[in-house]
Amino acid sequence: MTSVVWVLWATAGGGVAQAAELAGSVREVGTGDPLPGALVQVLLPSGVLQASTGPRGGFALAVPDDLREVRLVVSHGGHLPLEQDLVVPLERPLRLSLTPEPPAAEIVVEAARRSDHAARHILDRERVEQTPGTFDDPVRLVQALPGVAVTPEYSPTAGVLAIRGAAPGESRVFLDGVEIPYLYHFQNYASVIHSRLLDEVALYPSAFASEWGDAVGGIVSVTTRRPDPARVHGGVNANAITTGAYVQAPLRDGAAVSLSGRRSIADLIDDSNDQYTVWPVFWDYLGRADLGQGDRTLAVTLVGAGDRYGRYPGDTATFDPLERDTSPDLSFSRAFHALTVSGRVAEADQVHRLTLGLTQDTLGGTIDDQSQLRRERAMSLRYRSDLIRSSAVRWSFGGDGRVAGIERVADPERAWTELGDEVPMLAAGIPVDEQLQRVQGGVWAAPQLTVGRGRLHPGLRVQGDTLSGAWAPEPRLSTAVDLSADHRLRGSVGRYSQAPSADALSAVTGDPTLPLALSDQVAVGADVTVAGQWELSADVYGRATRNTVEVDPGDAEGLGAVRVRDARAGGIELVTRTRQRDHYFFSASLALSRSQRRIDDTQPWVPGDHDQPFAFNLVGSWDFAPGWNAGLRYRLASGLPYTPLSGTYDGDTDTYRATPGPENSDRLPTYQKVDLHLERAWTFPTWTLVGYLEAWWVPPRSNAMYVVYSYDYTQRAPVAGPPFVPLLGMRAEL
Amino acid sequence: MTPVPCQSLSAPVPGRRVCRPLRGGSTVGRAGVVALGAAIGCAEPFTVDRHTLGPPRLAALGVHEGVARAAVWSGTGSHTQAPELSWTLDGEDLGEGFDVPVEGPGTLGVTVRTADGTELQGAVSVGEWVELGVVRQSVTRPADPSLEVRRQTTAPQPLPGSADMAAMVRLTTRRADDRAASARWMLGRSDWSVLELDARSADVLPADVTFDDGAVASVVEGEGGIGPVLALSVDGDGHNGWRWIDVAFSVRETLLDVQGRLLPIGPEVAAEAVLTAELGTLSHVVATLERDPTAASGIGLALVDVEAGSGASWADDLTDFPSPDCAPAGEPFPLWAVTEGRCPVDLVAGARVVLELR
Repeated sequence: MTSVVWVLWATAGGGVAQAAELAGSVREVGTGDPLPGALVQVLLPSGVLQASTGPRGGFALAVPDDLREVRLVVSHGGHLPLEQDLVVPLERPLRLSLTPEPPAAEIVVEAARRSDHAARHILDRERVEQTPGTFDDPVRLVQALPGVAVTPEYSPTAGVLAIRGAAPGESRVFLDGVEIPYLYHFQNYASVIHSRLLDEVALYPSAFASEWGDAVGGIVSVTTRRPDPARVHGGVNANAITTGAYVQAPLRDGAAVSLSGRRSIADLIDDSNDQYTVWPVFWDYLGRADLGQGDRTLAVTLVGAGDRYGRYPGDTATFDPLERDTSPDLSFSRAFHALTVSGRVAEADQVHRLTLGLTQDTLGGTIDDQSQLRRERAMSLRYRSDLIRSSAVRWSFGGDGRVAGIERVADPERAWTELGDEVPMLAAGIPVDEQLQRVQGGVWAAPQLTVGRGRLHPGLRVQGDTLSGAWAPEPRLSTAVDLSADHRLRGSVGRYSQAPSADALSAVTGDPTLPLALSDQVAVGADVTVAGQWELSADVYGRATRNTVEVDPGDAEGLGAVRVRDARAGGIELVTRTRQRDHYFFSASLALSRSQRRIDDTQPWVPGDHDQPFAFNLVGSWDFAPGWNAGLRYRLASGLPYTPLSGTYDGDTDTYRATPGPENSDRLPTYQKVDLHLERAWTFPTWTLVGYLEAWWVPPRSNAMYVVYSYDYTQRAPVAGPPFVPLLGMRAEL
Repeated sequence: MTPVPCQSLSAPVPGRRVCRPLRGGSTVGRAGVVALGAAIGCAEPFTVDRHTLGPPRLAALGVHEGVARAAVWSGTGSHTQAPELSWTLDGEDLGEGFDVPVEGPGTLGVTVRTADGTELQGAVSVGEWVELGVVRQSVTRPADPSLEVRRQTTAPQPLPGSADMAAMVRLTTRRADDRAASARWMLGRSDWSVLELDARSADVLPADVTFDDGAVASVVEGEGGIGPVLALSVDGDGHNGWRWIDVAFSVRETLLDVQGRLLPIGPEVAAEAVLTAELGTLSHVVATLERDPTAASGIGLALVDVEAGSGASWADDLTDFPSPDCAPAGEPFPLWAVTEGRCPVDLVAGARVVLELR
């Protein structure tokens, strides 16, 4: 309903003249959103007519019909005013669009956010979308955070989350509070979450608070965005590799839904090649429905992803024609689906959160007529309550549990050891047909005491697992002291445990007697904010872990023994950053660290698989003109260690078996990479079109991804990734 | 055969590079996935290939007539010094040298130290030695040496000596047992190619053939001459057999086929009509082994003073011309003993020996 207010109505005779209607609507440029409450003024020689727009942005004014030209002025808070000369009467209703005012210069100081955790790094949507080198993929940026090992793009280690020297399996990834089986398609390519539905990515690198458990590495928590309950959003995006779409729509009573889907498109162009009999295909989807607002909310999320491909298991670069003709065909498939329901109830002095999750993770694979199937179905529960007793005391407690059934079936004819990461059960070379059940969980309590400028956060977590039959108490303590508004000290110490995987505990292919991994961790840090906008942070950490589980790769005879080891890691992380929201951000980090392991105290320490003595990251992004954004990212990191191999001739098959040399005694070359990002947005009355160009450049000899060996292991050569890759993409948004 | 060459996109390192789809490579236990789109990794090519005998190499292992045997390739077809062999059975020391008896079952291990200090290691299941025959035929060489085209070639002809450069030599193994087995081929010439045809046969082409994405990328013609080939038949359980055989292209001299090796016998010997006429029926010859200054043969030795054997059996001549001490006693001199290092050239040069022709 349009409301019209007559401010002045004056004619020469003072009577009521014949009137013509001047009507239309006012919307926002780019989104097409109606702007209710906008002031529409018609400037007349004798005065001003004005009206405000209704809920749907509509207005109507009656102007004297003897006028031929009028000036229209439209204004609305948060938008630039619009002036327009009109010839009346109008042939059709007006469609007026107001451009949003540039955002205010808001300096973002991350360190100002309080946290239960001694160290935490946050990536929000703006940062992930405008950081070069993500190729429109948000979670790739996690490796830019200090403490996470930097690995060459598209290498076998590209997607690993090796946090502060911990092995990838020692960290856990959660989506909206429920653990998901994997974060990257094909282990190393694109993350399984559509960037438009991402709210933020939080990394807790080590020595985290009692809320998280069953991990001796770090925690990555990804949260999806609550749909906008006010209007419809949507968009499509496409680049040379992926295409996708998303939509968010309000329902009634504050409820809203969002849906997204993506699929790779490379297989539509070329369905096979030298290496692949079935070109890699991936897809993912995410749906979220939100009910309620304010103090009581309920969110239901359904997320899933799948990967599949077929390839020759051998190194086709060295295949002769007959080998190519007779080589067996490896097929790989993996998919997961997760349904989560999470609720939040907040009252004046307490907040309660509950998340229920159902997941199914299926890993399949075949080599000719040999097949493997691993299917895990799990139900998980996570609960947390915060009770605020006074300004000095807050009680937090909660728990999490997971009930899982795991089906494992495999009928290998030999040990395909070289395929251990793709078809691990065929790689083991041991027939398996078993069902495993396990219940894991933990309960915790952690009061937070505030004394003056300091906060003390002691906590106790008790973690247990039925499959290993082990449990562990885990005392933890974190503290923070605000020396001033711009200076803060942080610290934490605690014990952490992690149960071996169900596969490692299998009586058929593993060792049911494996103990829990136990890790003692300490971390201290300091934050300084200079001139209210430059942040400087320094963190020092250490970690000593016992009973980390390793699976010996074995050889052609089959899987090697599952064994436990000791591990230790320590390092220093220096970070500086500054950010003005929606204008620019810049950050640089330097991590110096060592990560080592040993079989037992009679053996020497050797570098861990993800030991990275130094890693430097620099990221900058700048909206240098209206509609334009440019960004630069630079990475420099020491190469990861690897164990050199020599060959032993196998006279039975006329092949060579790899014989490991000194463990992790060699290292890939130093890795460095430059990413550039240029983005241009064209804003139309009801939608926005964004075109972007990404390009990476790797200096010569700086992108060794892995090492390959000659047939007899007498020669080895690093395989280098592409030195220059451009990617052009477009996205359109409502 | 050369792996597919390509230029790196920016060619940071001059020369040919092997480009591979991105994956874990041959590293045991490393990740084994993926690449999309144009993402291709490149590596410098290796100078060794399993089809080319190349530098010193342990080329085959087995138990021959109850004795451990290793086919040690020196890099040239003969050895200046016998390699040192140390044998184990299931990890226990068994002995050293070329006459170490083996009683199975078990895993026979060997450590080889060659004259240049190279150390090679290998192992094989103790199995029965399998006599291996190799048939050598000539086939018209197709312009396209791809597997599909070579499979369609017909009418192979018996080949007693050298083949024309326009032909290719088809080698086919015949095992004396009926175990399922596959043939493995190694060639002593880097400018030629040996291309498998099926599990028992291969074609030797006097050209370096390069494949890319399974298709022939280039064919670079090689030079004529004699090239040694090792034909190895393996069944996966140690019941191995192998044979050294020569292939010759565009060799005008008369070639004497001795146990599969093709040895030029020179114009003066070839002129002896009696000998050459009888070659097809002779069981053995008597000849003096001389260093081959021209390196025309595949074993670094030439035959001089070649005479037809005196009887129907070589046993009669063996009394007068026993093999050198380095060779198995009581048998005609085996040329594989030269190729595999049991008899270095210095030990046999000048020796007059009985050579079985088949």
